[in-house]
Amino acid sequence: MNWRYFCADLALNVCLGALVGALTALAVGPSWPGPLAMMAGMLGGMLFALPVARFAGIWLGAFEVMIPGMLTGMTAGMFAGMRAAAEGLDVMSGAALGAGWGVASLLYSALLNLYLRGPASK
Amino acid sequence: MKSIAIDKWDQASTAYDRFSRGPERRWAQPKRKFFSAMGPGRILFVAVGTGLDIQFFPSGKNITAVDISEGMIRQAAPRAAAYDGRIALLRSDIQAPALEPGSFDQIFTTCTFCSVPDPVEGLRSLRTLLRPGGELRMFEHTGSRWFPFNLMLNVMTPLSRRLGPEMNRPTLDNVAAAGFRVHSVENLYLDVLKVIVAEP
Repeated sequence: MNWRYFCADLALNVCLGALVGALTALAVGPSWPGPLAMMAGMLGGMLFALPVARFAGIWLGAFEVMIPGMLTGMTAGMFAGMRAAAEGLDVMSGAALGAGWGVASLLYSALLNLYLRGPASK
Repeated sequence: MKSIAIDKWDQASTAYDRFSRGPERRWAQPKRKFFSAMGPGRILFVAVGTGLDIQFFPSGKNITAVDISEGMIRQAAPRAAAYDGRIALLRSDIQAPALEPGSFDQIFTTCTFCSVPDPVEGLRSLRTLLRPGGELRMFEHTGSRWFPFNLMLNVMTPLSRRLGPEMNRPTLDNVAAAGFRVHSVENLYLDVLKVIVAEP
């Protein structure tokens, strides 16, 4: 594993998750039905993350950036949306929640990559 | 009449390098290893683009490099001229290549079959260009079998298709459908970016 890239990916996913979490906290309120908030957060986060990750990819790579980045957008939007619909969520808490999911998404992608990398069983 | 694919890649040719810096740097090591398999015979490199991959070629090879776009070929020309070996640049559509059948020992592709309009037809054409005992080596990205990555690649594809590549192609299945025998598959990133080696 290249640690320089890993640190850059980590910084990107933390920022991206925080941004998606904060925006979701702003957009979603307790009046939203839970399933709708979850789906809107998930799809909105994923679509928001795609151009951001593509832009960062100019310096950092392609799939190694886009795939964890979209997963971060998806999870941060989904969980922030659910929390905001259930009990309300202020912007800072939304950012912290999203940043946490950014770390988790990157680690999940990195660990799955360690498992899948190498000769494939077809 | 020029096809939509040619127009798309002609337009992309001037800005292509700017958007490819990150992937080229990050993939430098696996690409160098991928191209180190270039042998002594005649080699066809499909979709040379702006020639960014030429830096990874081992020296002294006899390579025919093709691309569908005249704009890409123009950008690749200085890099081909600087190569320590022989590179002949040709404009050719891989679905109807103007090349002699059975004339190549190896064919290399990098991130090509995400964009070829009819990938199985394109791969069938490549098969006819290989000599008996030749090999196809592909450095390609494909769809994923893993959730949620398959979902994300499916969401990306309608958007990415407008710029060029499709993100969810079953390239391994396409290789088999074109009549190749898959010899080996190595995953480079998840099950998305991979090296496929196949025989006609």
